[in-house]
Amino acid sequence: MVSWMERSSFIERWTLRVSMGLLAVVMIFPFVYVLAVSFSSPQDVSNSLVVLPVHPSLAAYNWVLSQTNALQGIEVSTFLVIVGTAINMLMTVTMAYGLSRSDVPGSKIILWLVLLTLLIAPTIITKYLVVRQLHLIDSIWSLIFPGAIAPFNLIVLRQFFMGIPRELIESAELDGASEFRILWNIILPLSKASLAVIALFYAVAQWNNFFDAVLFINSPQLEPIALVLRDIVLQGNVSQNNIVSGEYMPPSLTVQMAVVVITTIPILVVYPFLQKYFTKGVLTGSIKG
Amino acid sequence: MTTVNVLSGQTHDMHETHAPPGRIQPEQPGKAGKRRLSQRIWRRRWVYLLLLPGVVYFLLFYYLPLLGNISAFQDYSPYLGFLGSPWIGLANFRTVFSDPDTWIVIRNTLEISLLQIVFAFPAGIILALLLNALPGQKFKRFMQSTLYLPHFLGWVIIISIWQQIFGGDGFLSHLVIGLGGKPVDLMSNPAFFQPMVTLQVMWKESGWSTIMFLAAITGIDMSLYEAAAVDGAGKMRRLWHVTLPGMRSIIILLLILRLGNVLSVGFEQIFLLRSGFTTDVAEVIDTFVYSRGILSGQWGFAAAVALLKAVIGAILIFIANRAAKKFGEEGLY
Amino acid sequence: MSSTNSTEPDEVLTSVPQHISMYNRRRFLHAAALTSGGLLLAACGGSTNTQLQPTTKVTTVPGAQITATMQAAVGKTFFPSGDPNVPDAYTAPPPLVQSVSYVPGDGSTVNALSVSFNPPPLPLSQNKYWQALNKRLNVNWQVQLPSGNEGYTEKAAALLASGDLPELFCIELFLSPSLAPALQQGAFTDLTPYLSGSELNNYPNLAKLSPISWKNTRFNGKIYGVPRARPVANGGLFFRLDLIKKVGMDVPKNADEFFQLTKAITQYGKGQAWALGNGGVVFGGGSPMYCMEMFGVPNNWRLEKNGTLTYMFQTDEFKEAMLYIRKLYAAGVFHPDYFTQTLTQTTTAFTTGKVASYVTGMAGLLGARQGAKTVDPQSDVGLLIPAGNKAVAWLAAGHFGTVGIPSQVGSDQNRVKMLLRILDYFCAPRFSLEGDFLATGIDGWDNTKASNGVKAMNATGSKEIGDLAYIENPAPIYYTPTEPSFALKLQEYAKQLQAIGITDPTAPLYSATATKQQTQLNQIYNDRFMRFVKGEDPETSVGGFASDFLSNGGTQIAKEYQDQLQK
Repeated sequence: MVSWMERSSFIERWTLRVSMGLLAVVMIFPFVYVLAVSFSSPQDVSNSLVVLPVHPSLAAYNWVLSQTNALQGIEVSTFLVIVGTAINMLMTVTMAYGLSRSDVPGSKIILWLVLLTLLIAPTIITKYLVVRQLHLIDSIWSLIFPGAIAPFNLIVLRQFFMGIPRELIESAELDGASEFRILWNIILPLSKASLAVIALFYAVAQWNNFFDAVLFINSPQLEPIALVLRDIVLQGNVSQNNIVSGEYMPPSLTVQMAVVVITTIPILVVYPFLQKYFTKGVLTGSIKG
Repeated sequence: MTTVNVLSGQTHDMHETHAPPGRIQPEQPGKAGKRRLSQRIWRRRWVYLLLLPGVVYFLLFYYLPLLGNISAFQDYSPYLGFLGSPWIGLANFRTVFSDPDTWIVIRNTLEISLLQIVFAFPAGIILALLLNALPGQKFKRFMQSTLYLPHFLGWVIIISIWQQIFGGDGFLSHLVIGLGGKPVDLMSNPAFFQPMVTLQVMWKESGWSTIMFLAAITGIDMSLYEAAAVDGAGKMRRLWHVTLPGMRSIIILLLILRLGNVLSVGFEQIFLLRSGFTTDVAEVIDTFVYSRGILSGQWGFAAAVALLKAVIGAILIFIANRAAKKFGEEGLY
Repeated sequence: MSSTNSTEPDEVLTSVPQHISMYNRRRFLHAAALTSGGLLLAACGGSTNTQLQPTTKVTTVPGAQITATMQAAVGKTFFPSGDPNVPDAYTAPPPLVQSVSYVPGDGSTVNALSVSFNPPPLPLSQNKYWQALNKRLNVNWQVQLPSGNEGYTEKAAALLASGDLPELFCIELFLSPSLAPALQQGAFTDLTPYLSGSELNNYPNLAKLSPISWKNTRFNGKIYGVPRARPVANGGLFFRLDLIKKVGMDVPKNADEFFQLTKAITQYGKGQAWALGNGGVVFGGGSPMYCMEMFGVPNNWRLEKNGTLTYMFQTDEFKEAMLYIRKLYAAGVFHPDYFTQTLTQTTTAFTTGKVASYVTGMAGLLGARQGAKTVDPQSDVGLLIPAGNKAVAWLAAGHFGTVGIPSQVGSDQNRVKMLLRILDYFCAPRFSLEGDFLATGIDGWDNTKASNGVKAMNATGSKEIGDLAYIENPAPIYYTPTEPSFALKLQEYAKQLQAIGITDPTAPLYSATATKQQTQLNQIYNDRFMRFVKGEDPETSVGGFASDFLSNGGTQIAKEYQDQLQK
């Protein structure tokens, strides 16, 4: 407790805690369900809710990990998350900073150009043609470069950069600092929270991205995990018409849930490490000094 | 009420301006003497270098492919390509406007968007404020980690789970039957379609959106709270005068962007829910374009709608930004 | 719209001129393959065929002995159907025959595109099956496997636009109607000269595919691809036959009895289970299909004696059927989530006993049966044949797409022939040496022999094989090693369906308006169907189905089809 904070009343504190706790239950519950189903034996699963598996079984995970290319997919996606996010951040930070600077003739036009990209997405066909011209088809880089900057993330980061006190930048300018110095020594250290947030957004997007892979990737060894696993889950949601549904048996619900767990676990593991960057304790201040 | 900026010793009157402290004030024209354009460009030459990779990226991967939207004016066939497909001028646009379903679809989209802006948008903010006010570090961290979980589940699973709770053979229905009532089905009742869609979005995304708002709250100078408390401001007044203003920039930005995108309500969720309802209930612009445009091979139609959406969205962003500025907020640009 | 078809037996024979009927041919080749393989080819080939390398003859068992074994097995483990439209059934694997007597490929790289419904296979470097396949085909086999409908539609469109068409291109108009314009515009080679008449003899396995499959995959009368053959009696109402006994009734003989049955079963289910379950109202699927079949609704279109086409919505049978379905819905025999359930949810609901029936493709029948048994060992899952004296069975088109060759490749005749030989290899019968490899992989590595001697694909096999060879499949047979006698049951069902089967006269035809309007018409139908069945529209509005259809392009579609029929 800091000196200036009054102590909340008992009722206030506990009302807050209880209601948040209830909220937490509502949020966690589906995940508990998913976990429970994924560890169930196929015959115990019906379409109703289970919280604890009746006959715990690793059959679903066994199937996914041994009968599909899941492990390979995880390798590919790990690469995408590490290298991809690095490139994402590099490109986004530089452009966001550039657009946050004042008195740059033409920056408003560029900003509008970026805004427009939020409103209209290129068609699949033309995206494919461009990537093909760059000879990136069926290359891992086709999953990184076309998505190098997410316009939304760029605009949000720019907004955060613009929130940094002007005085700091101006005094650095007076000292003769170059743009790079300002970025590196002033903007970035003060933006830990927003950088962490944007990096998280990018990393999660890289991990979950399958759409680009559908279009650009042909070789099975380059398929990211999201695509491999989506194939499994997707099957159950294909048209019910006889001709199509007669082509295969959809996998058991347990397998589909195991897929969801496998896709989500890495993110859950990484998130706590990033969390400390965008929350702050009661005592820490935001400006150094 | 004045506060002291710890760093520079400058005093700053909290009530002086609307804008939260530390805001960059746009340069007034004519203020520092008119500089020549070429001088200004030279002064900021390194900024252009920093902007270069991004600009190249957008040109290459967004604007070049956007040329493909020329197919909006063609009877486009992938095999014939852009050069070989016949030119039909505004015919695709005429098809869009003459189809009776178009207006139904626009209405549905706007209604759902409105619900999301009114309910789902503030939900993240409120949740972030609640989280911020939570006593106890550990509990706070724990809550944060749980709230974002639904974001990762993917619509397929979420809708399947909601079906099992609220559907005709669902948990809720059996509960009601057990209490002596009749079966309840919220998932195929058209009256509940829009509320359920909104609730699902709130449930899935509120926790995730708190991340951004919490990051904004992190950026608020603690000394402002101190000063406000010293001046006798209680919790609610501190919230109103310190916390919210500190988040204002991000909130306004997100609101403007959301308004600009009012014609998009998320394809996958609606697509998965679509089959249980009639067109006048559940079809939105994106699903409409998917079935009439892409699945039917009417690429020109799909491109025409995309162009229309972009133009309308741009106009909306422009208006929203203007409005924000009129209210004394700082807009997007 | 569902595309279905069948031809009368007479037509089969007359449409294969100058040949022994396809059916007898199969048996003939069985015995002859080993002994005269190379000779057969040399006898009917042209000059280009002399470049072909004969494969090493693998003599498992002398040819005469095979014929003898097969003849002895008839009625014991081998059950020829006696009908070219009904697959043969096997309860035990027969001795394997060699069906390809020359090396298909020329050592180059072959690119292919096929829709896929399974996770991707292991990469080539880790995949022994793939390596063996390359060796057998003598090519570097590179296949793109976009998953599901959306993946396939987008990939196909992107490839067409880019001009980088794979040399073997799976054309599935049902999944992706937007490919039809490409066909119209000449994107694919006309293969009619290569695959008709005596030329078809160059590809013995392709010749074994049923004439219906060939006929229904023609486009504008020409052959643009090799069909992926499927049984013509392709789907039906899976039913929990044990529940019929539990409620003390018999297999229904007409629509009224069926109605009583569904009510009884739903009552038996006491709010936890329902008689009829099927996800979605996608046209051509679901329990409504069964109801319509009972009333004799035409399969998509009916060809009248004066040469005009009547659409199914326009018929009196349809109106009767719709009122019947409405009656069923009002009685509460449909699962509450009937309109929204996905395929997985439906399958799960069926196996766990939440619904007593659902309609889907026959390929899933054994799986559904065994799934239900693991949950309830008393269960007995089978097919219900549409009941009643007006009942019909809607026969499918006999294919799931074709494999075409882009027109860029078409100028190189030798290349085209080589590609066709590769497809021929993929169509090797299930119980040939090649077909057995394609299905179960490398013995002892991709498959393991169970204690009863039956070979089954193992975990390695499913990872390695995947959909690598999915692009083309042999003529269908019924073989269910996990429950051998069930293959006979499947054959019996197929025969029963065939006996009351009707075909869609428009299956081999193309209508540009139909392609363009298909999704919109489906949507209009779905909307009206939901409102009508739920009782929101009055009974008198049943004529609205037909008027909707006609006013949204239906009249034009009928005209386009009729014009083609008259040619």
